[in-house]
Parts: sequence; C-alpha cells; structure tokens
Amino acid sequence: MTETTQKQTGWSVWGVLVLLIPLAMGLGLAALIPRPVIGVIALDDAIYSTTAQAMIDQITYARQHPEIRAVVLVLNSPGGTVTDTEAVYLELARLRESKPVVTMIEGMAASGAYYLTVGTDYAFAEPSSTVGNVGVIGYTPEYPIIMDDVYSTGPYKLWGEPRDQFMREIEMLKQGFLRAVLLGREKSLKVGSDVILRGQVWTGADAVRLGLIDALGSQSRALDKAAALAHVAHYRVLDLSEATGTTPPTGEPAFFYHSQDGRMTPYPEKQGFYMLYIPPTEKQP
Amino acid sequence: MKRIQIILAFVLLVAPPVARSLWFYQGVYQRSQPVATPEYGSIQVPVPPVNSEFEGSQPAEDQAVAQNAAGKTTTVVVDAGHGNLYALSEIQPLTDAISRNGGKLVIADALNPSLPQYKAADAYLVIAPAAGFAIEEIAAVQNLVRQGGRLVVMVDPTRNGGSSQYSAEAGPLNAVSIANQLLEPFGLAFSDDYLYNLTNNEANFRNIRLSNFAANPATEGLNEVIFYSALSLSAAPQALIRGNEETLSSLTDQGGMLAVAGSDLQGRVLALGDISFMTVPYIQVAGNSRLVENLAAFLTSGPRDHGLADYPYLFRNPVKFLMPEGGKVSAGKTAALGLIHTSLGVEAGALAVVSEPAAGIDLVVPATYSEAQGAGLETALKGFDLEFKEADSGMGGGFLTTSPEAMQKWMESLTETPEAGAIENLLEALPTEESGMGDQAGEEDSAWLGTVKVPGFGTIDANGNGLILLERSSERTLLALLAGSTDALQELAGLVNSGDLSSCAVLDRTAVCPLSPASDTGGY
Repeated sequence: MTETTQKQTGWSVWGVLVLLIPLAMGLGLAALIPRPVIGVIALDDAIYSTTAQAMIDQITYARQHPEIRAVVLVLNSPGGTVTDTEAVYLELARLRESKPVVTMIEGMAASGAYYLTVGTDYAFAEPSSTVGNVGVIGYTPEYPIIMDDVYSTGPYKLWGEPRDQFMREIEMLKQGFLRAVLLGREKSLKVGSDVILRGQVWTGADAVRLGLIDALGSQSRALDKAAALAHVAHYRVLDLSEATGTTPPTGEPAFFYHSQDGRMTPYPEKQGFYMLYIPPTEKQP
Repeated sequence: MKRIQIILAFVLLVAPPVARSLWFYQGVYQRSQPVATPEYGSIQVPVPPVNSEFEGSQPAEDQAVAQNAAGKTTTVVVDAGHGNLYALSEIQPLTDAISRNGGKLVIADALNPSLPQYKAADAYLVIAPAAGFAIEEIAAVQNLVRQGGRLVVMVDPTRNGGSSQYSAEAGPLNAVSIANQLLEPFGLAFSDDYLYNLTNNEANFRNIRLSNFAANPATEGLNEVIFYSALSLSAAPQALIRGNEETLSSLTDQGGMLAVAGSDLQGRVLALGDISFMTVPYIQVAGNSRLVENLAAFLTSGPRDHGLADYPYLFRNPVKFLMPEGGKVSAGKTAALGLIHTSLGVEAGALAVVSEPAAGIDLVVPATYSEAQGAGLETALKGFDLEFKEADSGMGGGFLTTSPEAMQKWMESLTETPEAGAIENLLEALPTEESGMGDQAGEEDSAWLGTVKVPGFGTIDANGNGLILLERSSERTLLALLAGSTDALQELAGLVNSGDLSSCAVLDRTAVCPLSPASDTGGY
C-alpha cells in the first residue's frame, strides 16, 4: 500500500513538474512579447532646423523600434521653413510605410504644420483649433548692388537670385504643397483647389466639414485610433522625445524675429521661403 | 498517460505567449496602398508669356516716329509733389515712350494755375500719390482736362501707403483715396482692394492676366497684358481693361469682369489700377510694353487748348513777329518787341520778324490800334472781328468804357479845372481828317482815341486799355497785343513779360488790361 502510495505520489510530483516547467517557460516566452507602444511626437513650436531635427530623430526611433506600433503626432504649430517642413514630411512618409501615423491638432496646425497633417493617416482636431493656411510666403531678396569693399564672382552670388525668380519659386513650392494636400486628402476633400489655395485658416469643426481633417476629438481618441489602425490593444504610450532624449529647445533665438524691446514677433528672423501662418496681430518688422 | 502529459505541457508552454499576443495584437498592420508623396521633380517653375508685341511691324514705334516728324510737342507734367510712392527710374519705360512720342516731360511739385508747369501742361501724370491735393490743384486739373488736356492717374495696391516699403508712416489718406480726389469729378474711382486669380494667373495669384479690352486707342493692338498686383475701379464711364470671371476682388472675394483701367466719357482721363506692368522686368511680359506705348501716345495725343492765362505756353510752332512792311518801328515798339520776345523764353529762339503770315509758324502781333486798322494787319487780325470806332473829337468822348479807372479819370476830367494849355494840347493831338487813320507813321507815337468793340467782351475805351487776343487754328496760333500808343504797347508788353495778368480781365482767348491812360501825348 505504501509502495502504491509512494508510486502515486511520485507520479504526482513528476506530473506537476512536467506541467509547471512548460507553463513557466510559456510565461517566460509570453513575457518576451512586448506590449505595443503608441509613440507620441509633440510639436509645440514652429518648424525650423532644431525642432525639425528633433522630430526626425523621434520618427527614426519609432521606425526602428518594433514595439512602437503607431505614432500620434500632436501638433500646435504655425508651420515653419519650407525645407524643414518637407524634411519632416518625407520622414513621416517613410515611417508610414510600416506604421500608421495619426495627427492630433491641439491649438493650431497651420501652413507647414498642416503640410505634416496631410502626410499622416488620420487627423483629429479640437473643435476650436486653427487648421489650414495652405501656401508659401517669402520676403523678396534685395535688389542686387555692388559694394566697395566686397567682391563676389557674379551678380547674385551675394543676393541669391533675382526677385522675379523668387516669386516663381514660391509658386513652384505652392504647387508642391497643393499636391501633398491632394494626395493626402484625396478621398475626403470636399472642396477644390481654388478654395484650398486661398490660404485661409478654418476652425477644426470647419476643417472636418471641408474634409481637411477627419474628425474632432481628443488626444486619447487619437491614441485609440492609432492603435486601431495598427491593430493593437492595451497599448502603452511613450513620449518619444523622452525616449530619444530630444527635449524642446529653450531660449531658441533663431526662428522668430524679436523686436527691439525684446518681444518675440510672429515673423521669421531670416529671409527665405516659409510655410508659416503669421496671425495679423501686429505690423511687420 | 504520458501522451496527455505531453499535450498538456505543450499547451501550457504555448498558451501564455498566445494569450499575451492576442491580448495585445489583433492583427497585422498592412497598408492598403503605398504612401504617396508629391513628385517634386515634375513641378516646373512657371515661365511668363513672351512679349511678342515688338515683333513684326512695331506699330508703336512707327507712330512715335510719325509724331516726331510732325514737329509737335506736348508737355507732360509728372507729379512728384504729393509724396508719390514711386521712383522716377521705375517708370523709365513710360517716360522714354513719352519722349519718343514727342512729349516733353516736366517733373512738378505742384499744379497751381499760377505756376509755369501748369501753364505749360498738356497732360498730367499722377502716380501713387500719398499726400492730398489742394482744392486749387483739383480745380486746375479739371480745367486742364476741360481744355482738352489729358489726365492719367495710376495707383497700385502695393503702393497704397501704410505697409508700403516706400512709406513706413501711414497717413490718414491712402493713395486710392487721394487719387479719387482727382478722378471723381470725371466719374472715375478706384476701389481700395486688390485683384487676384487663383486658377489662371502668372506665377502668383496676385499677377492677373487680362485679355478683355474695350475698343479704345489706349488698348489698341493688345491681346493680353499682365498686371503684377492691381486694384479695381469701382466707377468708370468706360471700362477699358477688365478681368475675367475668375479674377476676384479682395474686398468681396467675388469677380464679375472687374475693371482695372477705365476712362471718362470724353476719353481724356485714364485711370489704371497698376504700376507694375510698366516696370522692369514686367514690361517685357505679354503686351505690357504695347500698353506703355499706348499710354504714352494717349498722354501726348491731346495738345491742350491753352488759354491766355497760360501765356507764354500758347505756341506749338516757331514764333515770329508780324510787322507790316513799310511800317516804322519806334523806340517804344522796339522795347515792346524785346519785352515780348524775352517773355517767350529761350525756346522761342532768335527774334524774327515776318511781314506776312506763313504756314508752319505762329505769330505775335504787337500793334497800336491805329496799326491794327491798317491794311498790313487787317487780314491777320480779321478773325478777331474787332470794331474800331474813332472818338468824336467834338465831344471829347461819347464812347463807352469798360475800364472803371478810365471812367473815373474821365469823370474827374469833367469836374476838374484843366491845367493851362491842356485843352490846346488835346486838340492838337487829336487826329484830323487830313491825317486821319492813313498816316500811321505819323501817329506811331501818339494815342489813338476811340473805342474798340471786342466780341464776347463789349466795347472798351482804347485809351487806358490794352488788348491781348488769341486765335488758334490747326495751322497756327496768333497772339495780338494791341494798345492805344507805342508807350501803352510797351506797358502792355511789360505786363505780359511779368507773366502776371491778374490785373487784366481775362476771358479764355481775350484779355483786357488796364494801362496808364494817355494824358499829355494822348492829348486829353
């Protein structure tokens, strides 16, 4: 009897071990499966070299990390330089080849920021947000002159290009912007190019009505939408600026023009091409 | 039993990762279509339409040559006294075209009737004024147009004060409202807007293509012009250049064939809502250069019908003095000739005298009243229809006078006791039947007494009144200066030389000027 009991007990211990070991291994394997992450890239500034590079770093990080299944772009920006906007836009396009990107407009996505918006898969905005302002602005170059103490090798070496050429290049850049809008919003746009090219800003609610964005909503809805597009649930949210160590610039003097009394104006400091919304609040510098 | 254990172990091994996977992942993300981005390389820089207007016959150039050959010159006064928001170098294509058309350019600070530039003006060009016009200036411009002169007013939304690079300080009036001060009397007015076209433009929405032209000399030969920032006209009796339905106003975002250039009913006033088209490099685009030529032709097309108040800017041909053959020239008359010649200015050239009118020359006729009735001048002065009536010597008067001063002196002469010998002197000086009007040489230095009936004015006393008469035809201009004596003629010439006829009663083509009445030599 004892022998039988011992046999039975031995069976039990062995049997339990036989079951526990695979379970433990299964749990271990399960632990190796990462919890999906929705990365958040926030832009609360103009788009210029510093902010654009920070965004590109975060986009690259998201692209290179498989646990990041989708990205939410949280925008509150009047846009910025054309080149920096296009650089971010093209990086977003590359990211979207593998992961969905959703935009959440919190406050403003004007001009260059709207350019980024149309380069994402879905766009939310708060009802009172400022959306649109499609177009390009630029300050014409100076009339070329020659100076007594400066020599250059051509009439536009110092001045870049003729003023007329500048005007035509702005038109070319505008066409690029328009095409980006038409490509990004082709299925949902309810207005024609003539309306878009007016350069008007709309509220978030109007932007939905015109098909410039997809829906009104909050950041949590944007995260859920990103997760849904990526087919993930019970995701974790990761601030990609923290993950990449790219902190928002502080005391950045480069982009906006500061008046003599130290006040920051909405006008860019340097000459060039901009996809920038300048609210009509004050006179030009 | 072993088999069951193995299956169970497998399930326990697989279940946690599967469960976790299903907990987190409900599918695989796969794009339905590839991400599309614009093909930036296919976007071309827009190229402006080539200016083909000067290819071939070059009509505008031909016209300029023809006008120069005619030897006519018109004076175009360019306003530079109202804070105008442009540089003269910018409008050089227009000023060059005006010169080619035989126009003489005068840059003026003001346009007051008393100023030489106004007297000389045949046309007035106002571009982007930033300072208001005085009431006198507005009236002067209206008078200029009424006399057949031309007025061109141009404004531009980029030169409208305020934010313009030319004027950091915005005044209470902008260029549009100031320009409208000049234009409104002619039924024209600019809108304070700008025009744009989002769908069919030249490189930018504010560069509008214009191809709707009304038949007018100003739009002759045009197929298309491009205005690189233009504003519209809110009122125009004749709309000359219009936008299309897609060309919209910034004020309303509505279109409707808005006019960017128009004229008054008489076709003497032109308003254009753009300046850029005539500046480099935009003058080389489409028909812009032809429009500039047309504009120059318009400015030089209307020689103004100058009145006497515009003296000495009355003549268009070389000026010569008409002196009848065989007549004596007294010292007083010589002085009068010198004064008149001086007043004509350096452009009159050397003093030249002819005895008969001839084609292609303008005439100045300085003469006494008695000379004016002689055969030598009768033909030349026929057009004035003057009626001379010799004073009744027995009455010592009996004529009408329109000169209050002369009338007063005459009244005084009736009440005062004449000085000793005065009556004798007067009687001696009066023309007798024998000497009459025929012996002009003998009367050269004595006053002719009587009255002159001047059409449109009345009858004037020859003594104490000088006459300035202007006759203009397509062939020539004739200016006659008539007075009672050579001394009076000299005084009249001095008045003309001073350029101030304010003491005279000036009609359009007739002026009666009070002179010192003859007392001793005249024989009163």
